[in-house]
Amino acid sequence: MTSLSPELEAFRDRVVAFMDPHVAEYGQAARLGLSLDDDIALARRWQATKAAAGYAGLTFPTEYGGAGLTQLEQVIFVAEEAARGFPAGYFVISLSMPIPMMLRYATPEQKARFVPPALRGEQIWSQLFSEPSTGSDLAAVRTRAVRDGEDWIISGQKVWTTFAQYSDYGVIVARTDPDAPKHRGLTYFFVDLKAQGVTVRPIRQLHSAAEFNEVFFDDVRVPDAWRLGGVGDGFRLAVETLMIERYTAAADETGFGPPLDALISLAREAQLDGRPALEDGRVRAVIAQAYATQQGLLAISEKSILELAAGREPGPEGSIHKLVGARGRREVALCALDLLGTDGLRFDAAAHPRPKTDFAMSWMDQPTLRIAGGTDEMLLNTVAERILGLPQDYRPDKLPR
Amino acid sequence: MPFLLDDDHRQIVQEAERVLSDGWSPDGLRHLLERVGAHDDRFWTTCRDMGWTGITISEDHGGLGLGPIALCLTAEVVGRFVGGAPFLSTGYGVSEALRRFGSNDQQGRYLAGLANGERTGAIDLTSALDGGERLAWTDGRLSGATGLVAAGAWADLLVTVARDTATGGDVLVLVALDEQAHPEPVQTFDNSRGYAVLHFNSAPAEVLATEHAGDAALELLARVAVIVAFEQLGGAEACMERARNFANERQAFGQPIGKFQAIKHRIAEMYVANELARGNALRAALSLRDDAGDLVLRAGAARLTAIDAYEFAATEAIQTHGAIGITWEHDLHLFFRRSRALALELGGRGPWQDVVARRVIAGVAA
Ligand SMILES: Cc1cc2nc3c(=O)[nH]c(=O)nc-3n(C[C@H](O)[C@H](O)[C@H](O)COP(=O)(O)OP(=O)(O)OC[C@H]3O[C@@H](n4cnc5c(N)ncnc54)[C@H](O)[C@@H]3O)c2cc1C
Repeated sequence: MTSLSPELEAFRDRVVAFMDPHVAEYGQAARLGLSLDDDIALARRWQATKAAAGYAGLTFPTEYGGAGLTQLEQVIFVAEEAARGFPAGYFVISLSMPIPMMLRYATPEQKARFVPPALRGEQIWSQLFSEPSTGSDLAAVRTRAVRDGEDWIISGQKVWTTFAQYSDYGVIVARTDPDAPKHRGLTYFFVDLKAQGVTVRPIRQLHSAAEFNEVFFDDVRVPDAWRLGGVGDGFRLAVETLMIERYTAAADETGFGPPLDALISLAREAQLDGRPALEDGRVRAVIAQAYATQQGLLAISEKSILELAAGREPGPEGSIHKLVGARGRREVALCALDLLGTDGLRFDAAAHPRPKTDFAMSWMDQPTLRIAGGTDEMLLNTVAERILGLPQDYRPDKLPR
Repeated sequence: MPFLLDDDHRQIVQEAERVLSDGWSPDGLRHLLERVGAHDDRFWTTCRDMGWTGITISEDHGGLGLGPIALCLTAEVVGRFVGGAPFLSTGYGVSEALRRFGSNDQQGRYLAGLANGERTGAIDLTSALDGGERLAWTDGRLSGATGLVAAGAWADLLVTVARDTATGGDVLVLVALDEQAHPEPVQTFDNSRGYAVLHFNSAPAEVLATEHAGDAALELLARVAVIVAFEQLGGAEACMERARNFANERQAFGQPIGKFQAIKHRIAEMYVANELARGNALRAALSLRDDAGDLVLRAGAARLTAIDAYEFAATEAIQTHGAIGITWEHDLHLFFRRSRALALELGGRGPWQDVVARRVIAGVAA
């Protein structure tokens, strides 16, 4: 890009100079084959290293350990980090949703207590929205919070809570008024996941790693001071949380699966019809189309950076990333597995393959991408309704009762 | 900064939209379809009056000297209206060939006419994509027949890549399409593009480049492909908007059909495809402006996503409209035809996939 300002280019140079010496310790190659636990431990060290150098929480206020910079520096930093394969994903939820919400709505004392350690990677936060009875339809949550003097008592069950087993705290939406219309009866809290009455049970995913969990709340006491926003304001805040998430989508670490280079190398070795597979038109078509798609996504990100630099909000086109990335990943991974033939079946879950480096894992993880953080269908609804002005679905839940 | 349009750019777009919505509607195109070798004079006059023919040609030669971004944006607007003549993009191919390879004398002779639209240009460069069959060039004379050339039925000048019969190498040449060339207009599904096969029988042709002429031809083709990607994007956007508007109005089973997700999601998918195409087109436009990056690769990415976006939008917009969408009277078939015409006339998906794949693969060390 020619259009970034000299200041931002200088920032990028500083970031690169900071990161490059750490590649051997934290980069893609160093992480190959690490167990999830070891990778998280490595990630904590990397987060602490960033914090020491002033690069954790780039957009957070300096009084809480941040760098007080803009989204722009953040996007540049994250892109460089992702390019080197550093382990940053474990803090994406903490630092993209719960902590920014806390910065917006918590008391100064609470911020001082929670934000700096979260930035240093000492705490991990979860987002406890989904429940067994509801995911897409967020306003349908059933977990109850009942007022008891200065406290609330929470009971119910959350599910699909990413990293809850490693988490110290979380943000939660619970029903505080069962008689109000469903969007109005919810309230937003933050909770101590180590508190009495909280049980976390990891759930094994289809690729066999357990990144998410069930979380049970059995009369868990939460002080009213841990309520964010007004009573009954929970749905609005939950939606606000998901909106903040949008900014980080462009920096999605898992993106497209293994780089296209890996497919090309594979196709150079593999044979089709007695010739190198790389000469096969079907393989070349996959390469060309994947390249064109990736470049299109890159251009959309670059455009968002410039929008931010020009002081505008980036458009909602960022939501395209997950949708298109998951499809592209599928095409590339299937092509690679096909080329491997029966060897494509090899998958050793115990070696903790990662979607960025292993085609089988990339393919195994693809269904996840289509669901987590909003399903394809919900994303398309958002594009259609918010961007294109098409009508909302038939919503019997909104009919007057 | 083309990724974000500045005020000048916005003005170009607004002006173009204003003029075209006043003086031109796709209606004008319908009757062209039934004739071979026709184009819309009124549309072309508008292009000339607006100076679009000379956007990228320097002021010295009577152009506006505005650079390729302005032309890209204009092409996008023209695409929205399914403009009734291909000269903007093909003419750009010829004036770029002259700007990059022409002698002072050649530029002096031809550019002013191209700038004011008195002369029109066509290109025949798709053989550079795949080393396909070429015209023969012997001692300054051209022989043989081209494939289907857009604007071939009317253009005054043609740039093509030919085979030098003496050396067996490529040569990039400029040939005047006067009596010496015999255009044979061809019936096509988009007759407004003036497709013709050109027959040469020892027609005098001027040399533009002999060294790396094949590469030069490919790069010229890529440059035109970027302009066309914007035209495709404009068409795709127009189809999406029509589909969206119709889905908001048309009622079935007691509700707007836009409430049915099968419809609603399809329109959202158009948006997604269009944005990918736009991203690539803008990137390629930056390359055009700055002569930077691998232009052919960027043009290829722009072309592949633009082909996908336009065809998807045109096809699915018709589906969204139901039976009204397939009637002659409805505009959508104009876009539908044009989407495929633009996908083919600079070389279809296959050869461009090959070009892109070849370059991506070459970028990865063995
Ligand atoms: C790996 C992973 C990590 C996750 N991490 C977290 C987390 O940390 N915190 C958290 O709170 N949640 C988390 N989730 C949950 C995730 O947000 C939900 O799974 C998701 O929103 C879908 O909800 P659901 O699973 O209940 O499916 P449902 O909402 O029951 O959907 C089932 C199907 O119905 C479709 N559907 C539903 N409504 C509509 C509609 N209006 N139109 C069309 N189709 C519709 C869906 O698209 C889907 O195909 C995670 C999920 C995954 C897979």
